[in-house]
Amino acid sequence: MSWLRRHSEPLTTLLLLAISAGLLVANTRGPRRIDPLSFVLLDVVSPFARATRALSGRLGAGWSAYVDLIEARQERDWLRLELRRLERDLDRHRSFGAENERLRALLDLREILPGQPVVARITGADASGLFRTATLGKGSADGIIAGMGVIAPDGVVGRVVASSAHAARVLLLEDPSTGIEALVQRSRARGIVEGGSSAGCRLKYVRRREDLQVGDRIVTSGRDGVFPRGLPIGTVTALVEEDRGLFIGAEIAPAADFSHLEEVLVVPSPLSETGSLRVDDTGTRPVAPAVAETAP
Amino acid sequence: MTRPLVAFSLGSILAVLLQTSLAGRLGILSAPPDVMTLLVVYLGLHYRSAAGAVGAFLLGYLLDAFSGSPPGLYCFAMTLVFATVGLLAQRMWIENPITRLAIAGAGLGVKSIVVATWFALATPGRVPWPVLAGTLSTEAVLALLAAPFLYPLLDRYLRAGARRAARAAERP
Repeated sequence: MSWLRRHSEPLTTLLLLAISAGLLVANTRGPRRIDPLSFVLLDVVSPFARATRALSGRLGAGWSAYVDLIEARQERDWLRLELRRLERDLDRHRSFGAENERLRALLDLREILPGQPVVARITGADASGLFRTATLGKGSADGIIAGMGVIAPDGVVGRVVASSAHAARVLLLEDPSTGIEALVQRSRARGIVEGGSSAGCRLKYVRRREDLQVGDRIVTSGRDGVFPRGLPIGTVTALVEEDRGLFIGAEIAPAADFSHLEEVLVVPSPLSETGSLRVDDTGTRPVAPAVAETAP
Repeated sequence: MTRPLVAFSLGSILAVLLQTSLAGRLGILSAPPDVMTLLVVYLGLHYRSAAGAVGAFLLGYLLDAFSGSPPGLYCFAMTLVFATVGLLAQRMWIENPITRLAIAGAGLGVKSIVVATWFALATPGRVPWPVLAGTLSTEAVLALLAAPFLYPLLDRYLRAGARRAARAAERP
């Protein structure tokens, strides 16, 4: 008896191993599951199992929500990045579209102008702020020299005052030192357009007896040998009585938008008197010159 | 002696429930840590007796009841783990945490060998060895990672119980 007590542990272990092996062999070979105690265990454990299941369900749901939140956050960050990228692409495409339209207008204008106008990009504005000039990205290497006229599809921009091999400086129409011979499109009255007024520029030296009204369109006369005839300069916004009794003047809103200029055409000079342009019915856009007018 | 074993059994039920429900719900790991084998190793280290052997057998039976294994597989494996750990513990200083971890590793190895052997014998030619090896090794590695936290907890709980029992015995 004492021997059995002394060796109870190895004997029990061996007995349990034998029972386990028998159970295992019977369950592996036989078609029926021999499992005498499992239903008792399941009954005992099932209340705990339900509680654990509920707990784990909540924990699992919480965990899933946490994982979903992380994924949603990652997705949100990715979508934000994607949105920024798409916005940049859209901006670029819009910019390309606008540039395309501007260049198309310039090309249209170039085709109807006499000579070989040079397309140039504006690369800078006046450094001082006292003057109204702009810098072009092309110069004498491209045939741009001082004295040439500069135009945009909307109208006259100014005149080249200096050029280097690869850049040129343009005196804009708004600058007080600018002077361009002009015509009132409706009445054909002549005058000189100068910059520096509050509206942008001013028409001066129009004979008092000439017909000049607010809303009249002012175009180039073509007599200065710089600009072709008929290019839009601007629109009369107000009449001005000049001190000298012989003349009247007018404030003019320039046709060209100087703040949004990006590409311009530089017109070769000197142009002959015959280098003229016709404008459309609105008087703001040039059209192809008639053969009779362009013929020498 | 009986009270710690009852507490140990209840703890085992909790462990198997957590192992079968929590780990599965969380879905982070491909296999849960083999806490049951760790408990059997603990039994083998500290309760080398017939009751300890029965406890190991019941833990195995519990696992059989709550897994798809044929009844007897884990009974056999856990009883064998208990016996092996008991043999090793007679020859080693088991208070050293590293030794306990090494013995736990040996116990996990024995259990893995038993399970793999059964698969090889019961389903010859159809054993998914890579899956089996991956699952068993994941269970074992996770259990070895959990052991340094689980064993001190069990030590503390069972020592507290022993102190309470000693105080109760001293009372007139």
